[in-house]
Amino acid sequence: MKKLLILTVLVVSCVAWAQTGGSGVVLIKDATILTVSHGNIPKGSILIRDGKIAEVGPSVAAPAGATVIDATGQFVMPGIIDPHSHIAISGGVNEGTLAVTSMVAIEDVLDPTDINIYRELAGGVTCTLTLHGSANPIGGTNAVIKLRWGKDAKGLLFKGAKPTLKFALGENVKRSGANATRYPATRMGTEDVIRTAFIEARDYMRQWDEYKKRAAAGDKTAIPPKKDLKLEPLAEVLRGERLTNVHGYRADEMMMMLRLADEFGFKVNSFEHGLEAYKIAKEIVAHGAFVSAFADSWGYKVEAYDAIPYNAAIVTRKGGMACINSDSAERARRLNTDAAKCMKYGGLSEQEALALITLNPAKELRIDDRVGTIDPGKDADLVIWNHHPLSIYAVAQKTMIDGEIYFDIQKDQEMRKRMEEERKTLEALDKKNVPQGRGRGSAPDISNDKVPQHED
Amino acid sequence: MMLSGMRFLSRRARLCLFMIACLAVVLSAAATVVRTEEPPVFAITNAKIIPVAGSPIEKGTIIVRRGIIESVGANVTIPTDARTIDATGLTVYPGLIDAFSDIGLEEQALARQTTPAATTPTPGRGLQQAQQQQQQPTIPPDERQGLTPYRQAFEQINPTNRKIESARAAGITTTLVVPRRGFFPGQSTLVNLGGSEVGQMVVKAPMSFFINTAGRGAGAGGGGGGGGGGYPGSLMGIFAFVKQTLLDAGQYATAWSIYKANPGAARPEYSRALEALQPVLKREMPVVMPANTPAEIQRALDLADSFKLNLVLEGCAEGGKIASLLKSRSIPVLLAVKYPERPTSTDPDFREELESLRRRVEAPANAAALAKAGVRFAFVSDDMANPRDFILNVSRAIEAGLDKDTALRALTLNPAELLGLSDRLGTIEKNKTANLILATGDIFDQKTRVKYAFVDGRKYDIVEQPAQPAAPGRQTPGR
Repeated sequence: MKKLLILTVLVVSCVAWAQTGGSGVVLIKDATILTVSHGNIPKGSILIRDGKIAEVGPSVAAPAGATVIDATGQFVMPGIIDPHSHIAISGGVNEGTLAVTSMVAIEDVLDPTDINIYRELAGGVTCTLTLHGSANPIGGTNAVIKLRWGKDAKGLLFKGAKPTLKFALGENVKRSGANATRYPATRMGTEDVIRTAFIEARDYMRQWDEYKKRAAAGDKTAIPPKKDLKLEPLAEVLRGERLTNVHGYRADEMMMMLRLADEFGFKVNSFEHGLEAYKIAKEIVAHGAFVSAFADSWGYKVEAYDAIPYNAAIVTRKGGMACINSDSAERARRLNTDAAKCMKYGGLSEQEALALITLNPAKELRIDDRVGTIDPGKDADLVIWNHHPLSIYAVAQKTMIDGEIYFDIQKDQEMRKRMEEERKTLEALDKKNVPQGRGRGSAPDISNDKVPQHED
Repeated sequence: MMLSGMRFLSRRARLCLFMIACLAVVLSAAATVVRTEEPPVFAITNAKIIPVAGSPIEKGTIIVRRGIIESVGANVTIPTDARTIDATGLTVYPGLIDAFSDIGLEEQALARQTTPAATTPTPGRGLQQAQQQQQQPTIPPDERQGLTPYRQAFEQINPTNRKIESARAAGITTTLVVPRRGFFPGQSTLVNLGGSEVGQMVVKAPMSFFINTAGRGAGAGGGGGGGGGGYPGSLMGIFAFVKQTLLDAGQYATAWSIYKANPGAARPEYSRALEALQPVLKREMPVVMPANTPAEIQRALDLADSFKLNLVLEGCAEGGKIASLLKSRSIPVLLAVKYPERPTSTDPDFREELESLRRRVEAPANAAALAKAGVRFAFVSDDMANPRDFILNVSRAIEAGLDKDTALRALTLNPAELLGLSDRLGTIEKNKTANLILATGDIFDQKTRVKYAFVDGRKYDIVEQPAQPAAPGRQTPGR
């Protein structure tokens, strides 16, 4: 009798364990899969194990204990990668007080509680390059993050992504300068600031090399130079260890930067916005720079007057790599339709359009070994849509990062109801508790910058 | 002897001399009495005593002599030279300790940013600007940037500042005064809130450094775009500035030690600021950093870890959310009680965000959450304008679930322990400093008033404070 009881308990617990899918195995079943790397699978499944894509194909079996997501009639695409974002930053997007601020780091001030993280998940975005703003010729170092809503700041970081540094040219820099008498106030001044900074960086590297030689030779009087947080990232750029993101609009300023980069022996990795890139596509392609642009924004500044919606298509046809970015927490939620615009304007194919917001930004950030397509071995960063993502009717149903669902549209609806109830409870408590009248001292300033950032 | 040698003087003359001598003795004695200013001996009788160490004494006596508690108990013999204070109906507590405040602090405004040298003067105003630049005194770059770690709080304490009186009226007799201006504002001083000179107030200095990552520097540009000078303006700028300064302080020490040990080495520059920061790097002095949200707390921890600082966290308004991390790292917590206020808006469609509402309603329960997780903390007023509001907000924490004894401990023995002075302060025990408050009831009751305060054995009669109207639209640091 006792043995039977023990056996029953064992069986029941095994079944229970199996039903909860305790091993982190998920199967997305019977969807149209847009792999981006090897075309579309009209009806197929994706097996996910331990946060990675294990299998993709028209017939993938669900192992015992797997959580099955029935995606019949739906579309699965790699998570959108937004290579130009300013979300999740606390205490200011720009350190605009100086012209060169490569010592500041976005990674130091990530704000994991920014609601824009959640809203962008609802738009199908799984990964962003969160950047310093464009107030300075040389801004700060940036952070590649996955939108793991609910994790802390460190939990957002995309481990292993190559470090980057923000540069800016053009009107934003000049305007910041002219308004508050900060040099530079012209495009030629901007070039001077960048050139001078790199010359300083070279001197800095030379000082350290000299010190290391002396120390290695046993010279006890050798004093190590200061570690300069401003010049270190610039030195890394010169050594090819750090990528550059250069905000620029006009063909002439982009050409200037290409020539400056050649002069100092580094590469411009991407032109941010680059709305006149189509004019110098040949030169940009020869240099090997990405163009990370808007689909069809135009005319909001003098330097955006020559922008055309065919920009991404022309760059692509010339053999270059184009990405579509948002530079805005609002636009980031419709990057899928922005990519679709490039089919209408310039005739990019469905696959080319999808790549603009997945594989191309992954390549730009050097994370294409991990994300950007649906292939076995890559991170399970996937989005399930109710229509083809390039359709205006598409709404993201589920957004998954590393095999975990971070956005589920049905759960979102349920959450809204719960939040309304919570609100009523809190309001009742609030009326009861907070005494009226005398000031109770100032509250700590723990609000985020809630104004949507448009850094264009 | 003197009198016998004056036989040659007339009797009247002798009498005059005698009277003059007596007068001289009396005057000099009086002068001596004024100079030593020793507080009289007090006997506080018939009091309900909450010693914090040990159980309350329903009816007891405390003898105070030379600024020290000579004895305390239910049956204590009253010395003949004692001045008796009948404390029937009053409750005696240890004077409360506010371990992070600006009570009595009157900081000089940070030097205003001068126009940087390399700028294009606006047309037509160039000459005017140049003349202004010549007239303005040269402000050292360190000070301009808020780098003044050598500043001592006691240099900037005004013993007649009204907030000291308000603090005593609220029951606070000891406080750690912390400079605020800039990013490395300086070093704190522990003072007792009594006495007419700063020297009489100081208990210990310096106590700790403050790295004000929530501060604003000399110039403008908080979080915004372009600005001429005034770096750092953004939060990331502040962190970069702090890191660079600490790196420089480390390199400074290396450079000087190489120089001292090797005759052929070049002499490094002298820097007052970097000199002053050496105890921080050697962990000889604790460093206080402000942090309220879990993200801010994590940032402070990361910074402290990378430079191996002896960290103390101040604020921790949402510390309850990561209480287990605070407990496991054993970080001392200075807990502020600056609860958020209800936002106002002229927009008829205004609907407060749920997160803001939640934060406000849950704020008073933060202390209880920390206590539940076993985190030891001390309540602090930070920069609250009214010390009485500070105590009232602690009462709200009790209403929200904090155990009353824990609350009292967090205003007495906990801060004394955190400050390393639990042998002198924080309880009513023999040989401790005579810092006491006599209140008309439970200190956490809104109706209770403090009637007398003893600071270093000096008795202060607390005058009823007139109601202070809240200053509308008052800007405080950090808003």
